[in-house]
Amino acid sequence: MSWLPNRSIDMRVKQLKSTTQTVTGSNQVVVFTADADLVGTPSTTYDSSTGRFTLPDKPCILRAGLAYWKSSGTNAAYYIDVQFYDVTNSQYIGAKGRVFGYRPDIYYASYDLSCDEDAVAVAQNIVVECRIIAKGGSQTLVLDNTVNYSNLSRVIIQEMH
Amino acid sequence: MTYKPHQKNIEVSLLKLGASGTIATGDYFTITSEVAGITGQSISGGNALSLPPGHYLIEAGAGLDRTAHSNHFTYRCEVGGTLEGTTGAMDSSDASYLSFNVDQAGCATSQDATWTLKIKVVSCTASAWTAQSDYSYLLITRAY
Repeated sequence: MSWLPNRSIDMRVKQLKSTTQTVTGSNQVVVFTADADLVGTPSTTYDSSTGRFTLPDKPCILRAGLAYWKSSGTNAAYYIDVQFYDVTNSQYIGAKGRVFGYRPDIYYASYDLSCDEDAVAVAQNIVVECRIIAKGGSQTLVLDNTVNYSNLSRVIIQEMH
Repeated sequence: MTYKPHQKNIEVSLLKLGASGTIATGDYFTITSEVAGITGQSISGGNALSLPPGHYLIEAGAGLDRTAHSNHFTYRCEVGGTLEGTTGAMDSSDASYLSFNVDQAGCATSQDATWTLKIKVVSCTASAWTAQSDYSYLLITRAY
């Protein structure tokens, strides 16, 4: 993206991406192996050994969208719930997102909830994790997949400077 | 409001949408604050958000329990008493309705005085929906 030096509002965007974790679903930290600066030079720092990222002291909009692949198990209903966790203050923040499978009619035969797939939060000046907080179904689910579904899961951080 | 291409300030708020019991056509979601980043914002009557002048980008995502996959549900932003922006919806297998995906209601508006935002249910299968506030949000960005 072209750099616009005369703009009054400076929005910077970072992306966290690439993971191949198997979903356990109980307060599981999503550890992305890579990050990228999409707009400008974001101040957020990311630790790919822990999955934790540190936000600047500016308002930040966080969005997490996870993609997964059913590596084994029946074609019955399943889902994962995702939410951001404030490590600094030991609390979950923002709205939960749910990504469901198998087919919608199969899913809704077992579960009632419809909602956004993305987890959304607003935060600043704290350390944050993206976590899978729940898993429905007994199938084995794997985030992304190096062959067919690589780099679909992501966290997007919009910094408002 | 006069368009001002070089706004100097930006603020962001995150709020939760909810409801007491089931929610139906014509109802408004209740609104509670999680991150009150917009200076001067306030909630009245449980479902009306008062906001100061400025240029706004609004995104509402509802989380709802349903009783059947054929149920349908749509909602929009109400700006000063008028529905504005794109319609949010739950997915539905009802052949008489569009095959909505789960999407947010969105709206962009510029206001030169204090104004009121509500999130209204436009249509739905009667008495079949219950709000889940943990899965619902109202994200508002203000430039001024």
